[in-house]
Amino acid sequence: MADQQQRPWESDKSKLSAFELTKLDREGLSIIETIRERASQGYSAFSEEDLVFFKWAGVYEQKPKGEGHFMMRVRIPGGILTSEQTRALAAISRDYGRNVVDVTTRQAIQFHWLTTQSLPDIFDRLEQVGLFSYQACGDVPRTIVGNPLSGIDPHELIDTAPLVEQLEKHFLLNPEFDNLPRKYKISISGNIYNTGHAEINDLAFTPASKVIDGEERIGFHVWVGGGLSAKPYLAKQLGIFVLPEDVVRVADGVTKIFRDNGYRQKRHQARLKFLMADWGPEKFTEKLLELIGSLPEQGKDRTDGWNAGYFTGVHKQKGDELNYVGLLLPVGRLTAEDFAELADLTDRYGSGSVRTTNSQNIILPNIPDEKLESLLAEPLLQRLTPFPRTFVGYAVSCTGNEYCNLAIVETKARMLSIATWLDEHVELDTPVRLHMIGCPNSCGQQQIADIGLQGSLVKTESGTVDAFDFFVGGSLGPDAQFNSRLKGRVKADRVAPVIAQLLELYKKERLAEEKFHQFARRVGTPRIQEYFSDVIASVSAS
Amino acid sequence: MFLYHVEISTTDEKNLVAVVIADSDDAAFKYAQTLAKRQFSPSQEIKESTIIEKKYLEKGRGYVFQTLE
Ligand code: SF4
Repeated sequence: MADQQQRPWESDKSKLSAFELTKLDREGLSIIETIRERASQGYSAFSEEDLVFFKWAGVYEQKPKGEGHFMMRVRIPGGILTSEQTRALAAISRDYGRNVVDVTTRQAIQFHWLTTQSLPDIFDRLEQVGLFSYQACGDVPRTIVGNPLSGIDPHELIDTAPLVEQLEKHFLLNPEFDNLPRKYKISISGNIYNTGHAEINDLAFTPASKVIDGEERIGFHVWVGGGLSAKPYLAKQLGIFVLPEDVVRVADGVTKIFRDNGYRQKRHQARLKFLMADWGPEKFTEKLLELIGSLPEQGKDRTDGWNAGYFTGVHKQKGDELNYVGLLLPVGRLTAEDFAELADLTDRYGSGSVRTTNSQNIILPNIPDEKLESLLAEPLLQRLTPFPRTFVGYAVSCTGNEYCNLAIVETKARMLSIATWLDEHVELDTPVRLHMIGCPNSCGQQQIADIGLQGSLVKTESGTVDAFDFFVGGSLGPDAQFNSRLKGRVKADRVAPVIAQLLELYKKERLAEEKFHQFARRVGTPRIQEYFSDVIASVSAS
Repeated sequence: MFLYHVEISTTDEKNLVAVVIADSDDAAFKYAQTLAKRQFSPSQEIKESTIIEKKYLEKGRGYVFQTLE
């Protein structure tokens, strides 16, 4: 460590996990240099410990472990890319990543199938266009999630793109924050429909206003301690109002509190959510103000709903002159060729900008009215359509057992085929958000879905089959609540018909304008459970 | 090597949880069923076993289950 002073968590080493003791002696970010030096010697040049620290460079070993293939995550701050950056990413995927490009639920881009030999060249190519995989994984501040429409959004109170940039500059490769107790996720959005998914981030800023010295000022409210995985928590709001010029100061303070007070004894209890659960928002606010000085008290919350991060379709931008076109990437995946073509399309029809969303989709902004028709007629937009059918348009999936070492089942192709089946068999005018995960770690954010599906592997006398647990009624926004689990496991090939039956109940008993999660909460889990148990008994018998 | 969480149900309607170390899903099923039969239901058959989760086998990894009140 450059800092010779003892770090607060060093004073009692009995409270440190084995990995924390290793982290005391090893600067996480130094792995970037180590990779650059030894990559050409191949996989065997790296120790097991090195491979664990690869995460600090944004690189993970993919399945099967031990065979030298890696996943890389690239930070896309706020989800905003230039066409040049998009082309560079597409070329990396084509040259090293078997043409696969994934958009993640935090607006990042992921590659698969990379070898150690390819990493230095990829780092260089990314740096040349101002992109980084560094700190996209590991116990560090991850990519900053933002409003993918910032600057052009008719529903934003403030353009947060400059703030995303400031936060990115403050946290990226900053040695002060290269050793946090655990991963650390930040989001900021000025959109009134909670496009940043505030409640599931460690630190989030949502739009707010307050009259200060007789003048209404737009700023933010601050949420701390949210996160999903096996033990999900919704973030809690602190009692402060933050002006845009104070955002970095507040983020710095919250992150230092986590760094110095967060738990380091057990990795599965180290996220900021556990400290918040113990301290509560009042104590957290008090500690923050002690550290960074005073701030105005809370103002008026300006969040007015939750759009779940969906922007598909053709929409007018702020000012009504230009349009943005939101495209659907089925379960967040596309080919390198398609990604490169999106870069060409935005150059031809828009302003050379591509944006990624946390619903794993893409936006092409700044399209003039007169170019809309030709853009919509492009062959690529017939596949990555702005007008998806109901279920495919709202289906999210984690990586699953194709690449993930911890997955119990396959998810991406399965989610797509279930959604396609539902589109062919169920008439529904209201979107229902389906999320599928391959294990309880919840990378596919199952807990916030209308209907969440968690995979397991069942062995009976007649063989082994994939099966899914059902969860109903999750959402974020003003009525944020995680979904509830239903008892009874459904074999993979019966999942689509069982969802169809659940939707029949919804169609029959919903109130006007009622969304699925609202319906599930109103009628209650016992009512849905009763119906669900009957349905699975009948589909199992059929 | 992984630490598996496996749920097991038997023909006498017992629901059990087994935690086993194994290097594949097949092995995890086998070990969990052997353990369950040996410990709980020697005369009963296993109706269904389900792998719920697996974690890398490392110091400090484990599962926590709530006991019945
Ligand atoms: S949820 Fe589980 S299976 Fe899916 S990507 Fe995350 S760890 Fe892998």
